[in-house]
This record gives sequence, structure tokens and C-alpha cells, in this order.
Amino acid sequence: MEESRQQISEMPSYWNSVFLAGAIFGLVSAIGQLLQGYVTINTGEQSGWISFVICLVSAFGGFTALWHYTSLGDFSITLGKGALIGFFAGVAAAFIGYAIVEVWKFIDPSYEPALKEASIAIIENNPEIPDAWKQQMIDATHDPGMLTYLTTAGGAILTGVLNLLTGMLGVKIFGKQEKEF
Amino acid sequence: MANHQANLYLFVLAAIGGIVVLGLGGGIFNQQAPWQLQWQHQAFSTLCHQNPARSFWVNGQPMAVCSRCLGIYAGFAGGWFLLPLYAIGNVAERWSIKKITLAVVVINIVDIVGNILGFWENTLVSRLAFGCMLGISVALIFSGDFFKTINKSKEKQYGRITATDI
Repeated sequence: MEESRQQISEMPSYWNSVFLAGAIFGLVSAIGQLLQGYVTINTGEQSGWISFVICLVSAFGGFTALWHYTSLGDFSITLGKGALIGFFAGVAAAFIGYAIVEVWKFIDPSYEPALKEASIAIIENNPEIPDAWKQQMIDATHDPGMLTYLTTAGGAILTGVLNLLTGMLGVKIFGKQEKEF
Repeated sequence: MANHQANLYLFVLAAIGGIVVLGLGGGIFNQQAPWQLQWQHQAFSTLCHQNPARSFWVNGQPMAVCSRCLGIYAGFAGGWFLLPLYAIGNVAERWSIKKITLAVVVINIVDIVGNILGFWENTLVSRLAFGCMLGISVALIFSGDFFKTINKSKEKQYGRITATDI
């Protein structure tokens, strides 16, 4: 009993791992978004390969957080705790990524108007988009309104849930799992 | 299965089921807004490249995720749902699931790289199938964690117990 108490008291805080993984994957996500934005601005086309490369990468924040957390010491960890750490890492990555992009808009004030202009040109020149939709899409590009906040909040929850799964995977790969009796 | 383990299993089942439904996009619900503006597309925008040419279409609208991502999510959901069956089959002890998963990851990477380099052209169905394999194999890693395996005795009876030196 004394030994198990000691083990619990020696378990390090997981917040460092959460924020480290969140920062790494938030940065990767933000760089991907910004690169995509600049390719769109400069070529007038949406880059397939950048988004293709970063496809699902954001889901591995939880996995990385668990890798870091389990490297902090010799202790056991439950799947549930791994899931929690993964979820937090995912949500942190989503918000950090969003914050970096917002900060970048202050660093390069021409980025957002140029991206809007390029996106509108792509919509106008795309014959596959029905005319009835074009104006709605252009309006939403000009003034996203609540769409931006919904996207950020919804994306953060979704990213959190996917990272919850990779957090559990991290427990299985890196962790010394606690036995259930 | 301990109570909190049961809760985690059910939570993940509900979560991955929800993700699969969201990934199907607005077409399945016949949403009228342009698909680029639908909330399902927006929610997955940082997680998937959402290339319409590499996604399945429903009711004239592409799904919110590409075919490989759909396969991963659907495969994981199916695999997770069937975890109790794996426990009966004692899959965790019979197969080296982590090695199988690693092999499936390599297969997916080879498929992606080969397609980019022009060695072959993968299709919607092939990407879905490879994604499904990955999702199922990842779910299999958790077999034995939520449900007790049924251990059949592997020992054969050699000889018989005899009473000697009585």
C-alpha cells in the first residue's frame, strides 16, 4: 500500500507532455496551413501535395505526448489516462495552430486579403461549382463570421477525439500498462 | 471488464462511430449548402486533405474525408466494435498484432509513395481497402484490454497420475 502510494506520488505531471506535443503539432498544422495559403496566393491553385503530406498528421499529437510522458520515468499508466492526455494534446494542438495562424496575420498583414482574393478567383473560375453556390461561397470567404469560430471549436474537439485514440495507442506502444484485476 | 474500462470502450465506440458519420459529409443528409461550407468539411479541414477527386461522392457531394481516411475510421470503428469477438478468438495472444500493424503502415506508405512517383495509380477502392486494413489492425492492438480472453488449456495430458510409493 505504502509502495503504491509512493508510486502515485512520484508520477510526473502530464501537462508538460501535453503542451509539448500540442506545440509541435500545432506548429506543424499552422505551417501546413500557411504554406498552402501562400501556394494558393502565388499560383492561383490549391496545393494538393502539401495537404496530402499533412493528412492525418494532426492526429498524432496524443501518440507523441504519450511517448514523451512515458519517457519521464518508470511508471505504469492506464488506457484511460492515455486517452485523457491524448485528448488534451489534440485540443492544445488545434488551438495553438489556430493562434499561430492568427499571429502570422499580424506579421504579414497582406496574407489574409491576398488569400481571400485568390480563393475567390478559384471559386469564380471553377466550372464544376454550380452558379447558385458561387455567390454563397464568395460571401462566406469575404465574411466568414461565425463559421471561423465553429470551425475552430469543432476542429479542436474532433482533433481532440482522434488524439484520444492515438493517446491510447501510445499507451500500448510505449507504456507499462497497469494490470486490471 | 472493470467498470471504467467498460465506459472507455463504449465512449470510444460512440466517438469513432460519430467520426465515421461526420466523415460521410453532408451529402448523406442531403444538405443544401455548398459542400465546402458544410460544417463536416470545416471540422475535418485540418485533419484531411479533402481532395474531392480522392473522395467518395454521395448525392452529388464529396464526403468530408478522403477515401483512405474514411477507410481508417471505418476500419477502426468496425474493429473496435468486434473487440469482444477477438477476445473469444484469443487473437491478442495468437498473432503479433503490432508487427501486423507496422506491416500495414508500410504497405500504406509504399502505396502513397508509389502513386506519387507514378509507379502505379491507386483508386478510391484501393485506398479505402488499405485504410480499412490499417484501421482494423490498430483496433486489434487493443484486443485483450477490454474483454477477458477465453484461455483454453494448451496442455496435453501426457501419461497419467499414478500413485506410487504408497
